[in-house]
Amino acid sequence: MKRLLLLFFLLWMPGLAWAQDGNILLEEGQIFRPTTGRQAMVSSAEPISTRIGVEVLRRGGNAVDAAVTMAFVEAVTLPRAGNLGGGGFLLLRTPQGRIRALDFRETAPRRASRNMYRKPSGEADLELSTRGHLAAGVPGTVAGLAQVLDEHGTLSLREAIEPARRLAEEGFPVPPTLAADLAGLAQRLRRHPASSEIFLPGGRPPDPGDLLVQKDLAWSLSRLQEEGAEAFYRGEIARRLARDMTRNGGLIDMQDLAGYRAVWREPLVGTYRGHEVWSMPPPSSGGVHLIQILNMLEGDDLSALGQNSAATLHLLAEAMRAAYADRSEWLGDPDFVRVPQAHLLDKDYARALRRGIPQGQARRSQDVRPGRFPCFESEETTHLSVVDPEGGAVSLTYTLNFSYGSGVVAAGTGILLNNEMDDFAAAPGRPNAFGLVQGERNAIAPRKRPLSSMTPTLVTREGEFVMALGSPGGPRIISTVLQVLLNVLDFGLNAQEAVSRPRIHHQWLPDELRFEQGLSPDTLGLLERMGHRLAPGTATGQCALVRRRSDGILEGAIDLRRPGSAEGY
Amino acid sequence: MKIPSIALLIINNEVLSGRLSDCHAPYLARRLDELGADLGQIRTVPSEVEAIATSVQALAGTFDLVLTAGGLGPAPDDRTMAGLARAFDQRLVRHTFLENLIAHQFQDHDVPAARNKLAEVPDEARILVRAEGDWPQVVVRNVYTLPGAPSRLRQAFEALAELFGGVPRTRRTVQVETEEAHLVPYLNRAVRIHPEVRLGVHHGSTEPGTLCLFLESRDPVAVEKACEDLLGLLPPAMKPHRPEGSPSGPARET
Repeated sequence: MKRLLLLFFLLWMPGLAWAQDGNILLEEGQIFRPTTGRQAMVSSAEPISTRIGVEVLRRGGNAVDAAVTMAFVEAVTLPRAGNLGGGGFLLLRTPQGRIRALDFRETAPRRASRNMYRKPSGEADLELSTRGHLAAGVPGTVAGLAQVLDEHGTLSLREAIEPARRLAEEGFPVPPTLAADLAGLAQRLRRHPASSEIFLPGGRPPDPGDLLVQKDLAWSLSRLQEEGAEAFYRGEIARRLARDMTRNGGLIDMQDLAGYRAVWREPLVGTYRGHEVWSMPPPSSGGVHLIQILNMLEGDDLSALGQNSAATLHLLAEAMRAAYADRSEWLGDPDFVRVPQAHLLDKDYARALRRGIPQGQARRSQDVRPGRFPCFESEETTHLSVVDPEGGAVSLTYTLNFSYGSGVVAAGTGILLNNEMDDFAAAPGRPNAFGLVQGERNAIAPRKRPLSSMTPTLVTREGEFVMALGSPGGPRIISTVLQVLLNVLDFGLNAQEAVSRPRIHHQWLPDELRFEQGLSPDTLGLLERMGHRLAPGTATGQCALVRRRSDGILEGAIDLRRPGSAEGY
Repeated sequence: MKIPSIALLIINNEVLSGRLSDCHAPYLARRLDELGADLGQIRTVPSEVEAIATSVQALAGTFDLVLTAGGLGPAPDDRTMAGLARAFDQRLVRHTFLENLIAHQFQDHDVPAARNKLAEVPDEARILVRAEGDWPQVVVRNVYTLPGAPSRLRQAFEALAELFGGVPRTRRTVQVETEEAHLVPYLNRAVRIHPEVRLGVHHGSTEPGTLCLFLESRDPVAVEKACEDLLGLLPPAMKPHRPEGSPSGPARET
């Protein structure tokens, strides 16, 4: 019976509430329709999670309740990025209008050291920093979710975990993307018996529609329900994690786990055309550079230049070039290194950078700043955005770094471990396997947090909620969030339109303007003539956006570059 | 929970002179109630720029959303757009999208005056387009314009329905055999105990000497509780009872 109910849950398709064919209204000039609602809205990369999030809200839960419940659900149903064994960041707006930023990024274990991933030759050993137990940082997700729920939620941890526990215990039908992922990962997973036992049941990847049951994960979730986050950091889950580490050459021990703390940080706030833009401070680079780029663009009338016109894209590319150059040099964990945040966010500094952008002519990256190369960052992250009927909102991005993290499940826990250590500069000043040289400020140190690009963002206007958004995409998170934000604020696009339009990306080095399919050849020709080095790229990012229009209606959209759903009422 | 407050502005000279009776307000009020919205006011004004502007200004400032009905056509007495422009201190401009649409629809006819007027909207207007190519709907700030032809008004309203959604009210009725004056003390007590429930007395459709008490609230539990309490309060002599099949959910009067 329970199974049947769950199935009903899954088959209840989102987005049909208002759909009366032929009677659908769209703003003139737009073709995609967002999900709309009056009270509350949820957008995520995983439809089961979205549906459960909306259900939490319908039953009177607030945005934090919904977001935390969804984050636990995605640890079960979206193992690619959803996690208990990783970390992330979240921004929230209380119904009273206060904005807070929670950092639950992983930390380096105490026994980690600056050169732990260097080969005798001095270069970085990518195998060590991405594969297996040594690649894992101390996970922060459980601490972060428990803390935010405790301080801002109305549900108990037990209640917030229950949907996830049931999905782990009873299983859920494997969606086609997960089936394809697991087939592709089979080789890597086979190296770890605890992983292959779960994700390759009977020795082979599941077919789409098969039930994926995760008994060990259900056990871990039920421990959290009984004992709270303590179970993960000091209790039986901690013991199993530490034991698995010891047996497999990992560094994380009981003391590392007991010492982990999620940290409330002062959110960054910038202003853009009468709006307040709130985002994540370091150790994410996302907020700093999002606001820095917005500062550079504020003096230009982008709406007159036109959405995705060559003139607009030239400006965006050059502004990104300047910001990513700064990123490579200045960013790191503020608990360990000085980040000149105030300077980078200064409007005068941005104006000076803007003056350096020639009209109609691309620069060469080495002329912008001779400096360090950006570090490599995986794109396998996930974001969810929630707004509740009281105006409370959550923007949450979390990750295992690589898709399925290090591929390691700690034996007896069902928990996939991150390989976030790879986000550190393994060999500062020397090229890593990708030929990239990385910044000194992001060098490995015990208990330090690796630099991230995750950019959970909230926008308000005179304190009132305007939108919540974020995206996966590694370094391309920043440019994704930027362009979606401009699509709404400058170009007046609806939520679905805003996340769907093709995007570009320039990260200073490599010196190329990456573009998605869908930009007109005429536009690309103009950019090429300006001297931009164009590189066709695959679709990147997946923005999960909820926003409130000026008429009070909420719009929700998930970027359909990947599966996902938005739903509201 | 945010439930938008709504006002309705009927723009029609004939209704004010009594030659026609308005059919929009009853329909819209019933539909808004079914959607759980809060309709707070219905006004009828003549199709005159000043009258429209004054009312739009007052209503748009007080209510979350304003619906106007009528006055959108090409005739000289269609003045809703001019009234809206005046209300918000905007200019009337010819909207390119509307011009193109009209040029396409009227391509066989030479009707420049009508054509130009239909394309004129206040300069901040938003144009909402329906998938099936009906005439688009014009929105200025929080004012949504609906056409005057009944079938088109209904269609246009339904396309916008999501804007108005709230929480539908639950209603219960109690019938009693007494005079209204005798009821007052009991009603006052019920209102005191359940301030969250709205209580009304109707004489209308029931037999003489019988009164209908309506209880309504967005909280269904509160309505049930108030209904039970009221039945308990009333003296048996009044023969209070709940009629068979008393309406639940949005009530309709016939």
